[in-house]
Amino acid sequence: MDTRRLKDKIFTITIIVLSIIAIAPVFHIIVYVSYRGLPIILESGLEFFTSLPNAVTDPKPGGIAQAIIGTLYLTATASIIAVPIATLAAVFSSEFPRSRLTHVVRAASRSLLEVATIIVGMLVFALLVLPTGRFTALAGSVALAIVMIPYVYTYVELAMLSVPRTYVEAAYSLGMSRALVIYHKLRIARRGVARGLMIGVTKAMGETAPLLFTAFGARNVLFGGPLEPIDALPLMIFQFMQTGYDNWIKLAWGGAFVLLISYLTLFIITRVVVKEVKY
Amino acid sequence: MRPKSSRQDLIVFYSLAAPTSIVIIILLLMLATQLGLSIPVFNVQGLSTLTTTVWRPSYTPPPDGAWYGLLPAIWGTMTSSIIAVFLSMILSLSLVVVIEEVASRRFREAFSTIVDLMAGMPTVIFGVWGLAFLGPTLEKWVMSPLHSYLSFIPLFSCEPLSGATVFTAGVLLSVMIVPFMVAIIQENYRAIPVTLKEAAWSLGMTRYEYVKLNINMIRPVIVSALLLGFGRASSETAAVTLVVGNSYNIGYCIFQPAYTISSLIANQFTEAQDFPYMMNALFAGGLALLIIGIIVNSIGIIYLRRVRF
Repeated sequence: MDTRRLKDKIFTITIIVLSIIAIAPVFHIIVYVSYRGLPIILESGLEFFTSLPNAVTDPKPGGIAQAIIGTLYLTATASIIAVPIATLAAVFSSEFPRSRLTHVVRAASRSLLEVATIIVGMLVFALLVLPTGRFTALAGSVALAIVMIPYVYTYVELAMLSVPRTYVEAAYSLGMSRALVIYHKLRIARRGVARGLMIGVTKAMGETAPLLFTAFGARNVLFGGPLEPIDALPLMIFQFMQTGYDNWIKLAWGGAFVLLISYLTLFIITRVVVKEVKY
Repeated sequence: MRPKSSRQDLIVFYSLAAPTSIVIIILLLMLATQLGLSIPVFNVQGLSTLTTTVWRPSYTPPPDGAWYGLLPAIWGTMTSSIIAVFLSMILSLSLVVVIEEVASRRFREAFSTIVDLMAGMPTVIFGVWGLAFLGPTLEKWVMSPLHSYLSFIPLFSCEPLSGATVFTAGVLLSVMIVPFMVAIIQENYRAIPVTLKEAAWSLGMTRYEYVKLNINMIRPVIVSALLLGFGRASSETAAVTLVVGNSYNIGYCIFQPAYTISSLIANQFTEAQDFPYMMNALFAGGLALLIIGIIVNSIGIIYLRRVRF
């Protein structure tokens, strides 16, 4: 074997090994989090999903019901705020692609995607928590909504732009009004829109940093209403993991497993939705 | 495609323009708040807020009692992100080449799915894995050996006391930004004209020579991916806070626990309201983070535009 071929062999083997190193962590994470989290859930049984965290001195860790309710509530309310704004903005930029506002909103959305999510948390803190003097679930919803908006915007715009032009022209030639054409475009692009929504929801569900100074976390009630602090799965995992208490670390591992499974489920659903996009 | 604008069209335009502006307003509010709320601390401490290394919360306002110097946190953000982008570049380039040139079609799809799966994973999950597994593993198998044998190199000069160090944060971040870097490199690698690729093959190049040539053609993209990856790594919060050790250190050694800007904010913001100017100092940190982000992302995008075939 001459040196060129030898070099080539070594190169190929090296990059294959490096690629495996690059993707191995994701498998290890799934296995490791299951290995640490699942036994705790099995040990606690149904109580893990129905009760609040116990005191650190209690022999049993208790449950994470408040975090599950919190994550469901925050994700749902954030979607209610974010989806209309992001969808309408996306419709605007796909309908008026040459408008100056379109250029600005695209740049703004791209910047929002890059901004550290903790800065979103600081913004909402300054706008909603500082003036009222209290951490609220509402502030958490708004923070997550701001995180969601650029994702939903990007994917919905992509979906709208992918609607074949011939369809649009046909619609106008039938004498449809602009509003009606937009409505039908959204219907045609619904899978793409759904994908944007799913990706936004997935993001919102997994975010920790924007909730630290907004939703804040409340672990003594299941649900205190929109004007009280509220817990969320990532927030609880993050905070409990940093305590030195056995019970709370156990709850954090169980919570991490629940969050992981929820993520994997949403990921698969999104894949199935996307697979079927055809015109 | 655009029909002549009628009154109806104008109604559509303006009713959509209102929600569209909200997206822009959010961004402007963000800049305004970061700037507005950090001004008080700059008034008291001046620009030395960014260049001094002491972090001393106190009820007596600065400069007599308290002092809030952000340099160690900025340093921590820089070091951990630099470690992250270099490690991640090696992994991402290999992954792109394997996906594009080595793997069979079925494997290619599998690889892409896995990369997507990594991209959306909640960051706190990376964090708990980093805290419980990656940190201790690196300490035992990488950091301690490097320190024992190569401690004359300043980077490795301090003894790792636990798994929570700047180095661990860098390694964890490198894993987390792989999907992001792969997306940038892959998109441009695919854009290399087939004619050029075929010409290279027809010269009888080996795969190594061929890949080297291709990567040379997209060199600005590599720079761009390093910069954009740096922006991504520096803005990460939850995972980094769990593994970086959170202690106020500055130095060349990467095996010591430290703070990053985001982990400093995450850890101290809640108490910050009790001390005068402390919250403002953290907003100044947020502002620094925003500005670093704007700079690296802008330069990164400029480099990305340099690639033209």
